[in-house]
Amino acid sequence: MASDNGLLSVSSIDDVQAELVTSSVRKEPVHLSSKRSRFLSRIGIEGASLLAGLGIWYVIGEYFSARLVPTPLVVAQTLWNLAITGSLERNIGASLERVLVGFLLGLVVAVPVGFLTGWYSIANRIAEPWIQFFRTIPPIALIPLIIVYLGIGKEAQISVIFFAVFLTVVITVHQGVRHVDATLIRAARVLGVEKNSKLFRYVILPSALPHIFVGIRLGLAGAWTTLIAAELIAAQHGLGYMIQVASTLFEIPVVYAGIFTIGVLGFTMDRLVLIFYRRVSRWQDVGEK
Amino acid sequence: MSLMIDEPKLRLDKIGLKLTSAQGAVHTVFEGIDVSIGQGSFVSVIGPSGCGKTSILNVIAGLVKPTSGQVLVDGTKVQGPSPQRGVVFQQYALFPWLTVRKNIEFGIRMAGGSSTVQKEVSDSLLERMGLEQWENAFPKELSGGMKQRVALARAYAVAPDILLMDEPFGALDSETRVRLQDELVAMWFDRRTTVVFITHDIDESIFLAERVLVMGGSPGQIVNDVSVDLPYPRSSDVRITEEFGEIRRKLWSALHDKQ
Repeated sequence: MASDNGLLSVSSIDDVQAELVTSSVRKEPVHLSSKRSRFLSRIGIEGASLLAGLGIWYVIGEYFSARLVPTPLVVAQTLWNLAITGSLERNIGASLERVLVGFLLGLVVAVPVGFLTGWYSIANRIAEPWIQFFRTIPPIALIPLIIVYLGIGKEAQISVIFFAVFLTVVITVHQGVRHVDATLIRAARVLGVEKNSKLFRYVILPSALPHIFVGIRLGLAGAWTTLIAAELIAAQHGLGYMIQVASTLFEIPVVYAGIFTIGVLGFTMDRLVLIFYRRVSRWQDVGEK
Repeated sequence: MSLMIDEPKLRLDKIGLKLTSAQGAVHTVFEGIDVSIGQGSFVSVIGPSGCGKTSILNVIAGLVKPTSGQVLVDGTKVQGPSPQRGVVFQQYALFPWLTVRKNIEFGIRMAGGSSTVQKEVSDSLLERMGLEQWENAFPKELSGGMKQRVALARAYAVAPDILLMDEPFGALDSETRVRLQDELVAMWFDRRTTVVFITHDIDESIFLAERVLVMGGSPGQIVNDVSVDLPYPRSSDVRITEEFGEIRRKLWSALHDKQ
């Protein structure tokens, strides 16, 4: 605030402009270089941390129990072999398909429902007891029931994922709509926004976007968790299925390869969401005065 | 100074507002407010906090319906919010996801104005408010004074008939506040938009307005109606004149007698 006061107390517009120019010149290089060095040191520390982890993993595998803990090299070799036979791709494909379909279905249903319950109190009162009740049930608990109804095909897994994603996203969207600043709504009204559809599009949606993205990230993580659990219990394809089969055959390197692949896929998808989010929410990242 | 014609621009026809709490208790915010405001005039409303100033503004804006009486603009009853009655809020109420320029253009865009019109209007207001360098900044990057300039520009962009201002400078430091008061008076002197300005600051109410309505009591009522016969354009020096001091004394006693 101190610099603002200085800025506004100067006497003429020319002075204001001069002050603005000098302050931006003064600020930019410091800002950039500190940002860059912070970025470098972060990558450095993160890289070192990853390397150290791999090192410890290698030492445990190599010197303690190669049978129970295959080294990173063995896991990499296993991944390569699985990729050559095409079985890794098939299983990744099966898992990805289920995660994406279940996730998108959940999202497509949850966003409008969240908007309705967040905006109309009658919708909220109808839906809330159900949502609060089902929220306490881990979706995994539904798997046995869904197997009875839908078998062990992809429809069963997609249903469980849908359920998990829907519950997570509907709550965050609901919260997002509830937290829209009432003054912004009034400001929009006095600026000529009459229809609710316009209000949704131009005020509620952008305002709730940060919450929606939190929902998307949590929902995606939940989708993976639920899918793998479902595949471990009953499936004919997928990474969870691959891990399950390998463990019964005591093919520990394959188990490791499967777990590693799940981690990489989950991490990558989360990063993609984050990158997309940063692009649409530039206004949140700007410096605060 | 005021250009009174037969029909007032804005008429508060014995308006009252009662609020009912969740427990069923009825609270009368204000009652029997009966005021006529002429076309192009600048009226301040002053009163202690809790006297219902902001509620009156919300009723004029059409954001809150009065429980008795009616608000008339050019003789027509107010039914709801309209861009014809612009509002500048104390909390700025800028859309944080829009740049300064896009905030200013918001109202024209909602009215379906072409991008050429949007740009024309925002260009002139950005220049007028000294915001050119900030056109692509987001509200978060601005100081309080700058934010309120943007809010003022956004309200003016739709060329409202009446501008309602709810303690717009209340959160600003005194230096910035004085600058914005100067700018507002200059803007009003150019455009002659009818302004209703809510404040709790006596000096501010006199410096800006042609007429000061003093509110007080509970439920809130208008306890005094003081005209300010100081010539425009007004410079900051007007604050140290004899006449200004006289009006200040009058308002002070009006505010404090009625407590």
